[in-house]
Amino acid sequence: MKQYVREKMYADPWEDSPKWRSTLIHTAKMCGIILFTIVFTELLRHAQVGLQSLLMIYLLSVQIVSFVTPKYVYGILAALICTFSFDFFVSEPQLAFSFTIGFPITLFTMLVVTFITSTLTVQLRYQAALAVERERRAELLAEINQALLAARDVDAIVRLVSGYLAAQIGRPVIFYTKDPKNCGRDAYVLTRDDESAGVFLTETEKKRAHRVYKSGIPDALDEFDSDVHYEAVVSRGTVFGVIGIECKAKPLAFTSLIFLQVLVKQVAMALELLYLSDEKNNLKISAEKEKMRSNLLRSISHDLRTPLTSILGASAAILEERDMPEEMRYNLVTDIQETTQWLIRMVENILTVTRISKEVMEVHKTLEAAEELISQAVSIVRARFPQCHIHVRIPDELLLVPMDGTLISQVLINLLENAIKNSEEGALVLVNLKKQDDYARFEVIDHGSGISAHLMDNLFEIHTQGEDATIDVSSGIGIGLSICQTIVQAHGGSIEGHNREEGGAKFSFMLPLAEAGDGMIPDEAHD
Amino acid sequence: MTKAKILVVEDERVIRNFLDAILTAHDYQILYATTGKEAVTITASHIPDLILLDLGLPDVDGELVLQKIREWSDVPIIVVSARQDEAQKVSCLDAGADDYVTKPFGNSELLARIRTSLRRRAMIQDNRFLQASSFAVGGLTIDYAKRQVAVDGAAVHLTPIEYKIVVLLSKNAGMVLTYDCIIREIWGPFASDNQLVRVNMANIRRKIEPNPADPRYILTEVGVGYRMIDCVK
Repeated sequence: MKQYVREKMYADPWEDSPKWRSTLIHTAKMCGIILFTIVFTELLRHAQVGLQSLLMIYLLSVQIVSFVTPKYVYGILAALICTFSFDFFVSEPQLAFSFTIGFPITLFTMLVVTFITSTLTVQLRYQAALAVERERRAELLAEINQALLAARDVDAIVRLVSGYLAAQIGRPVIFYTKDPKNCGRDAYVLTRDDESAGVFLTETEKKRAHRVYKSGIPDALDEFDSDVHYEAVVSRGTVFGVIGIECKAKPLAFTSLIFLQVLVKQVAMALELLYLSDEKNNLKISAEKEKMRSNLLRSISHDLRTPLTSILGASAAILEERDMPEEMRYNLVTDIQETTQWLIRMVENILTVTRISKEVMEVHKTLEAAEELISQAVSIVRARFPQCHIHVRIPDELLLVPMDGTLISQVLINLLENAIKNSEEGALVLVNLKKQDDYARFEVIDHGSGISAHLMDNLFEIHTQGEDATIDVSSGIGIGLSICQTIVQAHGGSIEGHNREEGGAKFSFMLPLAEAGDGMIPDEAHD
Repeated sequence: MTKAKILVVEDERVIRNFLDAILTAHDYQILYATTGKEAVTITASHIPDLILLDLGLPDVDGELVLQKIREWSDVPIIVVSARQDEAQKVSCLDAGADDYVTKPFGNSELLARIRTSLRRRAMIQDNRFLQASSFAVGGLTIDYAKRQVAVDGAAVHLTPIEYKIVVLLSKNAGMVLTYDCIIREIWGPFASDNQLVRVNMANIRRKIEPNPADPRYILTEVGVGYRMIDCVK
């Protein structure tokens, strides 16, 4: 493992002032204390205080100097001066050096006291500073944690963390959210973008980041000659990303590394939470969809019961009542046919719904000529309602629209049937096709009774014939319009319906054209 | 004239019953097969004039039956399918089916398809196709010898490609020609662009149809291909 330099991360109160000034202050303190000691002991000596007490005072002064100064050198200096001055002032003969046998012993004792006191002091001060720093980090982490919890998406989390890291450690940071191997620009977030990108985005660095991403553990092998330190963002075996910090010029400080590792764990947890809640949301959505589907099924099954009963009843009557008048028999058979046709349309609508992909509401699109689709739908509706009167208008240019032809055909059929049923028999129904900007616009216009007010608000919702209402087989309002909306929306289009001022209703839907100009008819056909 | 023999390959009794009723009423002789194997055997032993083939059979896929019969017989085959799946219709047509109807179908529609297929078959047998020098349906006339197309007596100018398409459809009037089939016949085996057909068809429609939005002569089977009508309803 790498040897991390113990950087002085704590704030040293003395280091705020220039070096020479602090030296001066400490020297002055030392001198002051020693001077005071000498004067004080001289006074005590004149008061006939014993030699051992005076020695104690000297010892105490050395200890005090060691305690109030940050470096050993002051303590040692104080010990030396005190030893000499004790020999000079206190021990016999006074005011002259004797260098008796007691001198080295005193010196040694003084030095040991200095050393022990200084060591303790330095350690104490370091611990205190570390505690302050830890508290600051803890506060910062708590703050980041709050911010992480508030973040709503991956991007926000990534930017937040990169920002904090870069600010705290003061180096460029890269955060990969995808596998760094062959990744695109969307796979990572860089702080200080331009000037530092070169360090991170070399082939070797990407390879290393990829290795860390795959294994989920930092890459120990290349640590020494690497320009970037990587940490994998892992939670419970899942790798959410890789954070890299530039360390080209100077290796990472130990405390910075610890900070990074703690932060990485928090990010991993935040990301995991986010993904979990995403998953939960998806589950909720699919549950919603499932609910809609079963509602649809229930209402359809309910709607199917009535026509089936009428078919069963009518056919049974024909079989059982042998003496039935011919006209009544004819009516019953006609009813059976009409009801069956209604059932067929219903089933076709339901089938179209199953064509739309369940999960993502997607359709398989191919380019279709809009006019061909209209004419097919019109011919199908004409076969069902021989007495109807439909007129179609198309533009001169051929509109090729990407769509699922069967589905859009169903939309047109539903709208046409709706129009016919809401008009008087034989009334004109208009179908228009237009190009409107980048959309193909289909319009179905009738001259009938229009849309009734109570349906207007939720025209494209499923209108089920509820338990209390009687089913009207000839009514066009059912699941038809709701299916139209589903289909058109699945194509990325929009549908609307409203009453015309002249009377009657107008339904129109727009489908996006492939590309601008793509649907144009060429001047000369390809020969 | 002898009655035309129709083989109905269908496993649903209810469908067989009503087919029996309408086909007998229209003077056809009917044979039945309920499985694919039976269908192949009866085709070989009875040589029907036309086969109505349901695709959903209990033993094998109807498409396989179609391929099997097509190996040695060119009897007209009309595919009956419950599935509204264009891809399947196209693959059946390309595999040699003459036409298709989708369940639920109307009786008159079915009878019309049967008549068209039988008539076409008769024409092929009499070599009338080769001899035909012109084609006419409604107001549309095509003079093959003079390479002229006219609508209601007025000559229509078509580009060579458009003319070739119209001729191809008219020679197969009443039948659906798939996009691939049209491309193959007009542009050769290596072209494969449905849009080319559509663009040309849009041009043709604007030239020969009284209202191109509401075509009378060339009908579109969306997702499958085109059909020129063989008689005015």
